[in-house]
Amino acid sequence: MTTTTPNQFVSSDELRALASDGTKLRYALMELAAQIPDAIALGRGDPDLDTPPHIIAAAEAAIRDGRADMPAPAAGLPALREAIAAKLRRDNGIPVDADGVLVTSGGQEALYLLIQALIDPGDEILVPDPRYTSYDEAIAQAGGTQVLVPTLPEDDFDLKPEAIAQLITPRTKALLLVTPSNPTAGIVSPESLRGIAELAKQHNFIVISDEIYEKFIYPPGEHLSIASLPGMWERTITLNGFSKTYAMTGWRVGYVAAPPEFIRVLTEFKRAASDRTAAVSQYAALAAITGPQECVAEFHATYTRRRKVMLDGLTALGFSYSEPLGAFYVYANAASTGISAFELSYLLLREAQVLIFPGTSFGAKWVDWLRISLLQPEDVLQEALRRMAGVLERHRR
Amino acid sequence: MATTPLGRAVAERGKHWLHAADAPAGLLDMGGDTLAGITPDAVRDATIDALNKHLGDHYARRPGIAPLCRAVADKLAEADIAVDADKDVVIAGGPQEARFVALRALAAGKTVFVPQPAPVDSYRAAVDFAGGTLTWFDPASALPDTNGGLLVLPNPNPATGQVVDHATLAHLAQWAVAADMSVIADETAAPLLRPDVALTHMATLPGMAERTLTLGSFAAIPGMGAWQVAWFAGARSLVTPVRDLKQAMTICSPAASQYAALAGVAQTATDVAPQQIERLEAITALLDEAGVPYREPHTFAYVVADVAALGGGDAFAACAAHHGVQVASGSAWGAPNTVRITANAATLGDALPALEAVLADLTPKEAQP
Repeated sequence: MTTTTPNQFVSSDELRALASDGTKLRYALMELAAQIPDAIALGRGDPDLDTPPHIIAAAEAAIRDGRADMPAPAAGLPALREAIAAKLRRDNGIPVDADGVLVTSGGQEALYLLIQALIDPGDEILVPDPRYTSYDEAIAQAGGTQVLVPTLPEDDFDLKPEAIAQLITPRTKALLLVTPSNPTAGIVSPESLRGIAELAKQHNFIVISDEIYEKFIYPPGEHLSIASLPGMWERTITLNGFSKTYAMTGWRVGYVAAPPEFIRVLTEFKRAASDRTAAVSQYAALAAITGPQECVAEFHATYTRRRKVMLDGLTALGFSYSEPLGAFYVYANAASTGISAFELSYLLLREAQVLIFPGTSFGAKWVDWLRISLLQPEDVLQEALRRMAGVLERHRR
Repeated sequence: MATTPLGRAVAERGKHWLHAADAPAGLLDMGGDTLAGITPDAVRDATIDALNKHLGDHYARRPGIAPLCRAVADKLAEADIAVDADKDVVIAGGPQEARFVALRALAAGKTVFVPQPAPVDSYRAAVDFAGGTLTWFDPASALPDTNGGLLVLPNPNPATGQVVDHATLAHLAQWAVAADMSVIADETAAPLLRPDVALTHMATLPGMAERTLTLGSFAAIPGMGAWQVAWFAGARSLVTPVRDLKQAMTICSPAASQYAALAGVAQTATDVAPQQIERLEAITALLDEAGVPYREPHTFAYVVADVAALGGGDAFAACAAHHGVQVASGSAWGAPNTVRITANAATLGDALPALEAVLADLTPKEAQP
């Protein structure tokens, strides 16, 4: 494979200047990579796999028979809300009916809306560190204050109740947990979730549980929805979507599940912010959630194979990592290279045309860490690892 | 009474923004600001083709798929509005999202001037979120004395069914320049204009290109309301913060819908106007017969009638609901004596006899022909 770089590649200082926050840094790197024809993108969490054919066929049918022409209600197609509720009862043990579900235009809109509905200026929201910084803007717009809860590699990035307990104040309104985690690929263990649930009840805070990667868990990991625990449904907002599970990022369908009295209010926020989610996308989502699920198992098997390739390769390169138990990322420590993660990401893109996000795009202190996505075929991952080895050979300190 | 911690946390929120809601089950929808209908075959075929090529599977280019941004820029160029398709055009997930992100990003701490009447429901939440202050004004009277602020101008105006005439628009533009205001030109209803009605774009007036963000929509194209595609474009200083918020809120707009919109760009008012005008005339004939005044509609989608003599917009809407039809009372947008009736193809046949009954019920016996 030959590689090329644009003649006018920005300097690392210019890149720093472009990227005033974690999200902007990731987008700046993606835009640079997009200019390189043979770049290997191990950055964004956009599955490279196709949306399964039965889902596309369902969308096509909805277009042909005119259902896609009819605007859906603001809260979502009734059949889709029913199907989501049924899935949450069956797979997650969450006691929800259709009136406890709101369909949104992707998981990110779901988070944006529920933060605007829930958080008042001055409220504190506990957020695991490192974090998916794209949520920062929603919290900032609501006037909330993020309080970062450390998660540690030695705990496999589990979110420990003890760490949370130390940070609870009278202003604590909510805890945002993301399990499996983006970027760490860690999961919040069932034991920790039970402890967190007790804290939430004791200190009367709300839990926002982002479970968008729930279908990609690797042994010995185990997924538990906190809303299924005793006394938690009443104080938990579960957020999920179709993008990751079914390789449907382009369709923009997510959802929120919570007590109906919260969903009624959230629906007004949805109506005010975007009115409704595209009907054709909702019919595709309906086929995804009610149709055959073998595709999800196939995706899982694919990511499992890729994960092994990447972990073996990183070990050979001298990187350390905690075992990724979920999602489709590896969060790896590159300290052994003697190069900061930002600099290494820059060098990998400029010299090897491999796009990897530095840990600093998920929190300022993660200067030695890289988030590597598994969203390329195995042979491409192998090629990326070969290219990375070349860069490290030249620059390792 | 809220019974859960979550219910209590939000018990007093979100109730005051919107009068409109989904049409209640069982009512014939004749009150919306878009036309329900059948998506044109060319749009269906193009979208299905895109889906089968897997163009809808993955995140789209964040500002919007490139050919659609170019198509928007080309349309604007035809109207003498120059924008860079790569940097100054962003595809939104429907007209309401375009309005929301524009106001939420640009109205922070500002006085937001909206002419009365206007579909203020569509603006209020974003202005609230932004910490702005929404202020009505009457374009026909002395304009408010202000320095700075934000002018929001729906044109065509879904509250009146009319375009803003050139002289009024020029007057407002001069005011905006003198007061150093930014302007959101909400032109999302423009695809509904009758072919013989000209729209003056705010951004084309002197001094306005650099201070105007124009909102447009594909949802107004009959049959495309459900696809949720709109756009915003204009001065980069205005586009950039709005784009950043849109992307923070939803990353990008649905790819499948964008391919539908791309095919829909070719749809013009002349394709659908004649049939729609006939439908609208069926409604205005009933109004004429009942002696209910209305201004000649500039769109082929709806007529706004003056129902003061029939008890006002709320009374008319309530009576219509009793007869199985949903219409929109103007009380939601500061014109309580008006009602908007939309000529939806799918429901018109059943709705006409019901509207006739409404008019008969509300017209004083001595005034009936």
